[in-house]
Amino acid sequence: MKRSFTPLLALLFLLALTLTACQPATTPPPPAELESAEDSTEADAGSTERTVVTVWMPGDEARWMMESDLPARFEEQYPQYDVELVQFPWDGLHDKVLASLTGGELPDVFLGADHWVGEFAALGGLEPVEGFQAEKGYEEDAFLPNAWEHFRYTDGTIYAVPAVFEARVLFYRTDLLEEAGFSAPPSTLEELAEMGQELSNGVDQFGVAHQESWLDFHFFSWLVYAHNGDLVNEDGTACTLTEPATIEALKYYKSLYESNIIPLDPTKRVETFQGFIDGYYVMAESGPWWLGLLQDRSELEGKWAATVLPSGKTELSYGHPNPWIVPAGATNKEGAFDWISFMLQPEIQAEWHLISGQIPVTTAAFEDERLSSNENLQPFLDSALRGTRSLRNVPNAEAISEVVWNMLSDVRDNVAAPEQAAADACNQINSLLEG
Amino acid sequence: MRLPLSVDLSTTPPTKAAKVNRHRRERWFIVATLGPALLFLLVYVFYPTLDSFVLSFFQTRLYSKVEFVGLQHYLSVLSDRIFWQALFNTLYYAGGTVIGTVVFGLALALMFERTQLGSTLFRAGVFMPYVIPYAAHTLLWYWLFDPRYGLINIALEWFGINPVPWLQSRAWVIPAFILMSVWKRMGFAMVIFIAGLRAIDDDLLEAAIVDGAGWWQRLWHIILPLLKPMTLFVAVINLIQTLQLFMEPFVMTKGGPSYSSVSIVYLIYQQGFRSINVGRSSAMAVILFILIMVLTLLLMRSFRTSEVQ
Repeated sequence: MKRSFTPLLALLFLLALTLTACQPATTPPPPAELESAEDSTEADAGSTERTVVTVWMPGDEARWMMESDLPARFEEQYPQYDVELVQFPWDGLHDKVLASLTGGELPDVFLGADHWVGEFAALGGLEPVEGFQAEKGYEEDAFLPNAWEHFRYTDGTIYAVPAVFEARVLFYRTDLLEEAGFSAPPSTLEELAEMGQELSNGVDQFGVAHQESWLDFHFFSWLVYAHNGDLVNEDGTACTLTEPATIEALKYYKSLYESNIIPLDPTKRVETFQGFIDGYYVMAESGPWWLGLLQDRSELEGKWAATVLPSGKTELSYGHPNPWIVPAGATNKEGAFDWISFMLQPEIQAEWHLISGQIPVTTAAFEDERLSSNENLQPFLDSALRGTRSLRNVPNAEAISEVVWNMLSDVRDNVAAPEQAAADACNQINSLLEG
Repeated sequence: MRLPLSVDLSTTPPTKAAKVNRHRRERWFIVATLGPALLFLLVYVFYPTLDSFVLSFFQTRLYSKVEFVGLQHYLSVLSDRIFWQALFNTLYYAGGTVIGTVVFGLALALMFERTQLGSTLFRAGVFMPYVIPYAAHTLLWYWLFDPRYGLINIALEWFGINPVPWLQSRAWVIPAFILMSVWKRMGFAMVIFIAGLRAIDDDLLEAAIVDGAGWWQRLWHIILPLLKPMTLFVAVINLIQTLQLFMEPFVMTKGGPSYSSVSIVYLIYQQGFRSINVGRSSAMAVILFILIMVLTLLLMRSFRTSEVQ
């Protein structure tokens, strides 16, 4: 019996080998095919038939959108479309888009992370948007600074439309600051260090919150920009962690731990938000999602506020727009751009902020009475207007951020001196920047 | 010729043709029943494995081959210090988990089976972690390991032990993974060992008692040798699974602090889905495949069964 099945198994193995050797190379469809897909979409829009606009969104953003009336309002404004909204977890959306770029089913538009633009543009998977920008007459000064330019890839083309703005601000406990005799939060890095020292007892209260992984990378990025440094050079081809300004930022970061302003003992590094609620951390750098979370904590009412991040040699801080992205292979590009222009209307931007807490990217949205009366929103707007920066339009951005936060771990735990840790990190980052 | 009224067909020897027909039918029956499973294996296991092997020799753009680079990816991987760190972390985790799972699984089996301690409910409770989805299990332990709010450090403080920086420390992060992994797997090991213990002839143990053998001697000279097949099974299954460590670094630590929890599969994922360097990712996958095969063979060889006298 055994002998008679050996040939069968061998045949299966050879079949597998043949299939592997004979598979054709898969490449994205040539531009001509994409244009014809776009043309047929325009023809469809002129007819009475409704076409579907498929929108992929991540996590909570998708849930909020589904629970809102915005899709229905879009369909009312654009009766030729039906909106199909699909939710994915953040990491899942990235991987799903990546898999779809090889020939799977693509959405017409999706909401992504800013560093995805460089990654997907490098693969030739994105639709340029300058034509859309010109057609709609979107001027740069109608948006927060750098909103469009942030998505200009190294080939000079803009590949995504700003959707919302992510800035970082300093949240602080007003009650604990007052108890310690401070009438205002720090406005400079020196003041942050001095006040942090006063507020920390090394046991159950620390001046500034510890951050983990991605959030630590954002925290350090702010320090780098405030010291007038950067993580990579202007054209994104070389790591600049070893430059004097960045080394200074790294030493400042280390000093926050050495002086126990941020817990030096790893067992005292607790979850950031819970630590802020408990008064364990008096100040914390964080983003707009904290607005919604804090507003749900009635026990903290009147005990917290937010301000722009302290400045150093510059007022720059970490921040960036998040994009609406239209894949080059989308079947309903006209519908996709109509969806985007709907979401960029100032009234809709204001509505979206009230629903999701996300910061509008158009300046007109801030004139809406419901937003202008929210004093907690002002620091985000001020941060954006002062100027923000982030790691942008380079290949392997996520891998680079992992290299950086592992470097930070080496520095704060004294495994390596800042200069050595930065040099090691740059070796890895330079090879990642090659793509 | 008239047939008798009753014919004993069982004594009628089958003809040669009948035998051949029967064998042919049996063969087709087996092909028909095994076929779907083999087709599934072909499409979802053999083909992707071979494809990955072929991709490892190419520089890729997404999933299409672009340029033949020979062994360049393998040389690049083998000269990457982070890969060697990942290899160390993976082997450390696998070794600790396999040993811990076998030891605790066996201890629980002996406790529940031989001493009749606890009811079916307790055994079900011990087995329950095995069926918890992996992502939920990792999130649960993420909070258990929190340095201030986690139950584990709170419990340690009750006993006067200083809190441990489980996921924040290079020294403790892999032991933390081992702890949560053993907790999840020991229930399944216990079930396997209970089945093995029940198969041991009671006469053998009684004879040993009569000869004056104590509990430890019976365990060491009779029970453990007879449980070798079960031990091998538990060890091999857990070795294969633990060498594919991914969820813990992905959900809990992102490979930190400072690459002390990065694993080979995490690097494969990072290379394949983040850096989109599918060729290099495939090279790592091939190296992992060879590693699992070699270690499994070594483990099986070391467990060569011998007859218990």
